[in-house]
Amino acid sequence: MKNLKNILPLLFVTLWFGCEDLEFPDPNAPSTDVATVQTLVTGAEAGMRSSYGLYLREVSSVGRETYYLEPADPRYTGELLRGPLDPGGFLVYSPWAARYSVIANCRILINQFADDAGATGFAKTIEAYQLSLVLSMQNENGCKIAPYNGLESDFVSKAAGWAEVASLLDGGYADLNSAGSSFSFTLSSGFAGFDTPATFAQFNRALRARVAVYLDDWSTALTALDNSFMDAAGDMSHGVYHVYSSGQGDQSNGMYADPTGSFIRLMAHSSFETDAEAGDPRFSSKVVERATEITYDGLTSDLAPTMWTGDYDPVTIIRNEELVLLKAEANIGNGGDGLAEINVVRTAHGLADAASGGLTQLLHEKRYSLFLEGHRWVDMRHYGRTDELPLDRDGDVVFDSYPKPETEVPGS
Amino acid sequence: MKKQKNMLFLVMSLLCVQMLSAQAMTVSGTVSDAQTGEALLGAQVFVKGTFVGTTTDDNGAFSLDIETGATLVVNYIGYKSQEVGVAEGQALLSVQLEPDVLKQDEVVVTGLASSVKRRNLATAVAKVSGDELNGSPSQSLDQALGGKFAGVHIRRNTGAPGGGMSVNLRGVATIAGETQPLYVVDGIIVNNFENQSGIDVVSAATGAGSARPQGQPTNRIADINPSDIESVEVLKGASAAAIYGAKASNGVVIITTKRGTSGKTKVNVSQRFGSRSIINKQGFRKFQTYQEAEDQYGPDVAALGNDAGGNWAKREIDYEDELYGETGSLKETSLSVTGGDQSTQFFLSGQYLDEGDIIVNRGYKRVSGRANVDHRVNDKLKIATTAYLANTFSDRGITGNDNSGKSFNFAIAATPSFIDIRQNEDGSWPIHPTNASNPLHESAVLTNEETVNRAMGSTRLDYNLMRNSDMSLDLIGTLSADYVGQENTVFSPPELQDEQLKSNPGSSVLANHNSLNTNASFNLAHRMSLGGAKLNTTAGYQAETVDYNNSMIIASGMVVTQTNIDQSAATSALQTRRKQQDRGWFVQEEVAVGENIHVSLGVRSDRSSTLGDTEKSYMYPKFAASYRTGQIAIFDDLKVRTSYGVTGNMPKPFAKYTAMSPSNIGGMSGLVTSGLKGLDDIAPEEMAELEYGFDGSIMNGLLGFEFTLYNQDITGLLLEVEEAPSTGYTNKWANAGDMKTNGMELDLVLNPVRTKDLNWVSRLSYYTTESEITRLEVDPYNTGGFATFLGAYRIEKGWSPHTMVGAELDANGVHVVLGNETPDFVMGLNNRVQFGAFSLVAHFDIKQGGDIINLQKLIADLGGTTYDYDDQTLDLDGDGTKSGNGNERLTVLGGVTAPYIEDGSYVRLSELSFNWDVPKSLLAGKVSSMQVGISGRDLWLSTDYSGWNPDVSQFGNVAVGGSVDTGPYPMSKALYFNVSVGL
Repeated sequence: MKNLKNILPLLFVTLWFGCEDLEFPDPNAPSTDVATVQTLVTGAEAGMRSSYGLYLREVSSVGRETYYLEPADPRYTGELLRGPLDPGGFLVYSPWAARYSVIANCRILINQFADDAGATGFAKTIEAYQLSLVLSMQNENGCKIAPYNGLESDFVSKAAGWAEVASLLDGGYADLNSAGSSFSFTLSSGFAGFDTPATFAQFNRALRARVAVYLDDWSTALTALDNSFMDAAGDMSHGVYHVYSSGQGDQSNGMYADPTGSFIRLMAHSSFETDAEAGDPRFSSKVVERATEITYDGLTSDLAPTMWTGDYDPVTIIRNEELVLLKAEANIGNGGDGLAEINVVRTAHGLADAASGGLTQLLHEKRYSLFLEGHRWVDMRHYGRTDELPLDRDGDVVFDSYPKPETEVPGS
Repeated sequence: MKKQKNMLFLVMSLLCVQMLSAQAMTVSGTVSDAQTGEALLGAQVFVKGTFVGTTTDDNGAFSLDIETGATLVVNYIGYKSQEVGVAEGQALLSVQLEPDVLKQDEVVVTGLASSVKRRNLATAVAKVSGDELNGSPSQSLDQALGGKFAGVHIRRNTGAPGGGMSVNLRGVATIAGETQPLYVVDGIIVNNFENQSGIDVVSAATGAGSARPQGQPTNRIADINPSDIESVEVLKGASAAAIYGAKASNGVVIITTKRGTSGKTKVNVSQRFGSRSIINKQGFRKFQTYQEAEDQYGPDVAALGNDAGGNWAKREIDYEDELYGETGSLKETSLSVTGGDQSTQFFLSGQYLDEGDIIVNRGYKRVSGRANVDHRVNDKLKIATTAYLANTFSDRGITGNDNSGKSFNFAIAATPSFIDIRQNEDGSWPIHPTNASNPLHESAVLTNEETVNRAMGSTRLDYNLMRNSDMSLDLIGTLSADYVGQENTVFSPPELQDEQLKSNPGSSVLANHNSLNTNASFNLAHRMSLGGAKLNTTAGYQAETVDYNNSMIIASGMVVTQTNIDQSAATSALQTRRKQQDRGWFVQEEVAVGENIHVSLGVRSDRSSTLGDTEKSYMYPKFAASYRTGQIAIFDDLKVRTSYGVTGNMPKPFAKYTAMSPSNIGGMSGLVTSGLKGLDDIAPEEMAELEYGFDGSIMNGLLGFEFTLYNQDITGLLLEVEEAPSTGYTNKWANAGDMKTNGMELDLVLNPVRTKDLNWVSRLSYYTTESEITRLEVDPYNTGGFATFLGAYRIEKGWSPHTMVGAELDANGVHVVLGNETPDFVMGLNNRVQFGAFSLVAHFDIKQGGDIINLQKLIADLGGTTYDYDDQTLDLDGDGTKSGNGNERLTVLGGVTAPYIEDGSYVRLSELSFNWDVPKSLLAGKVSSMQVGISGRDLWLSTDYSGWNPDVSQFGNVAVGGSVDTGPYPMSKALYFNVSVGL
């Protein structure tokens, strides 16, 4: 038909459109193969802080150091204090997932950049640290030691988990010792003073000491402490911290609240006041007694934490004060009384020497020195003393282990 | 009113083909309404079986050259067709057309370039006219569609001004995919995105950029002015919609706007005034004694309830009234002009809408304008263009879930009625003693504004390649574009109580969403008569692009009185882009044999850039057949039909990518695994639907019915399944399941009284649907909501995907079913009575079943203010005592969720209007018609649901997990007075 020529333009257009390539890369985000050592290290550092404020709030609640009174979410005062913990809820899931996200970054560093000893030393240390946080919550339920290739794996026992943590720390230590005099990457200001292989190795040994003490391995602990940055004569607050800022993509510490505000959520447990020694600055500098109390769900407190003065104040990872107390603890474990180290800490705070050492005194010191740093529950549980923790309401319990997250258990 | 035309017939009407024949004659006549005698302008008169025809003029007159003895067919929209034999010598015909209440002769679009009369239609397609749609005024189109036909369930996610509605056709067709139908307006595939406002960040409901946002956004179909609409056609089933292929699993809504008519230019002006108020209040707890207050809140707070003398003041301040007691004033002015001549017709319209709302300072404004022009260039080429511009503005306040105490409803729940947080005389605001913020202060100064600039237009060219008495071949090309420029600003001033607690008080969010959607289609339509059969072949090619850029800047630590994002101490930013390119072609064949048999077959093929393999084409076939019996027994006409079609549902645009996310510290930029593992060979979900039914009418149109049963087999469900986080990923996409959905639709039309003075038409639509998951490759899981014990949806093989579960497990450890979001049935009842110049329309929407997870009740329980806190009707802990409902629920919280899952059944009077056509004798001057009336929307609601809205979704238009009530913006009723004048 003569009108066929009118159809030709249509066919032309059809063919032109039809042969186009419709493939293009993700316009919004990079993929795994473009990551460099620096971006992975920074990502791991930054990611360590995710859900860490939540972790602190949770273990402090269970350890009866604080309450988190949140009217919009009854789980903080319900599940955490009365149980049972919902294996599908964010209290169990979020800290776990955040730690494994950092572990994934560490694994990429270990697998993809195996010849950069500084990077692998960093990665193994951080992976161990993250796993230790997971085990602190999961306790008897163990954890997973994931090879990170996207495949699922099974739970390993608590003992196997801690063994892996120890072995990662020791492997990392070996790598750091062969990494030369500087790293191929930059660390944040939270690692100020610990940003060369030699000084970072001291951080590694500090973590190793903490882990050794959890495992009742006193001699390893003492050796590790000697290789760490522990300094009886030094500043108690010297150590490694999480740092925060308001920069693009950065985080706030999630711990700060104005103590004089009309309604604040994180409140110290009243026993922190009743059990405090008179004039202990570790009490008076860390909490303040408010004019009005905060009440929610049958719990009341008038003690507001003052450890942070703003949204971007740092949060401790590990510091000298803990190391000195770990030495005391290791000595006590070996049969001594740890009194010398306990008194070092007390003196540093202007307190008179303790009358005697021993486990009870040590736990008291740890409680006040390391308030709201995530140690109370772990320590009391370690020595089987969770029944000494105060219970406020009928039906409240202190449990020993977090449940396995629902998504990690096939078939649930 | 009676001046609308169907565009397709306009094409045919302008063809006057001279037939040279030995026995030619000229026949003329008039066409009028059989009941009123009024002449019908623009009726189509053509020779049966051919394309030879014309249209009637202003006086209803026509003139046509035909062969002697030919039969003429006369059509007019809204009337039954008539055939008239023309005998030799008969020169003047007088044709009277009967109104077509059952719409059997209505023309329905069945493809991108084809249409069929309803009486022959083999699939269930619902068509609603503009008048029916706008019986009562509505802010947005989706609201107006409610209850108009079986198979649709409209859920309002929130009562906030500006919309935010889920239009659901034929039940659940997906779990994690898109749920909204495809909207096609005049050939434009319209942008119906839901763009987040950033309110989530201010309320801390969820983090910025969350995969499960909770900002209750509006969806962009709301920008369209419903009064511009001529008709809406809804292709509910896969066979009808298959022609739109991989986008059509949720159905297709085809909207045609009004077009011009030739003749004298007509102007219509209408004005509405009205008011809006809250429809369903919740109630609150009253504290009778000081002791009651002290038991709940402690002595410090209870003391606030005492008067100056220290005695219990028994204050009972209704905070629902304080916040939601505003009566919003509504005004709407509309203007339309239509006119034209033989070759060019135009329709122009403009609207100004200004609606206040039930919360002070909130509301919705829209200014819009449209120009639709049709021009016939020559006898082969026709051009039709549409252009629409709109500017809308709304402020929606802050409602719904929040973790900062700001949301109005959460704040009210924490406010016992005996404390007074109203503004002080000196203008300052009291500090709220039991909540982080004072909601009255928030309501006065917090702004959540959305401004949308919308421009959409299309141009359609119809080129007739050839035409003779037996066949025609047309080339139809459409080019269209839809631009949305949306800006959201949220400002929470630093002087607010909860802002003062932050180290950087004050938040300001600026979000910009820009998207440009374009689509082009080129179709060939071939029509042929062969013996007694008519064959209609169409084939075409379609290309669509989406280009979307969204950026959001969140500023905190605002300089006092300043809202600009740079007047701040800290900012963070987010950007998301989306690019999509789709290509498709289709072929369709429709065969009509005589008047009784109609068969249609077609296939569509789609490629898209969002799919794993962008080279692969996915095929979507369709088949439909119907048989009409004609007059048989008591049936005037009975048609049985069956159809089968396959459609697809596209994956989310980023589902194929595995990305790392930025995570920064100390000014250095880092990357972490994002947690979501993409599926690099992702394919669309597929739905195969088999539909069968019958329609007909009995006793000469006294009762008409349309009954349909459908079965949908959905395969390759795209699920975002949980991954064990120890793998490094927390979620991944997988085509991991299959589902079956089936249902029944029934439409009945009863016309019991049909006289010249009184006409009563009653329509009932009834629809029920159910779904079941038939295959699930992953372990069953709970999704939606916030946590299992707070109510979640369970995805498990053999269960409905809308099943609600909670903490309760039975003896075998299996979750106890606590409810289901899918209603047992949805019904619409519409009655239209016309008596003389008066008309009355009443429309009821009824939903039975359809459960809701009422977490607002939990928030009120925790705050001690639930309306039934003190009632002693429940004993949930099984201890034999009823210690107060609030107490009982809280005691078992964590182990018992059932008290918070409520039945959302309701009966609602959605529309009521009463109008009077002012008789011509009372009209003066140039005024040719005038209508005066009152109308109302949602005037009455009856429900046992204890929350504000028995239709609600905290998570917007998600397929599963939406029906969660965390204190949405309450629904309101509106009453209008309207005047409409035609010149």
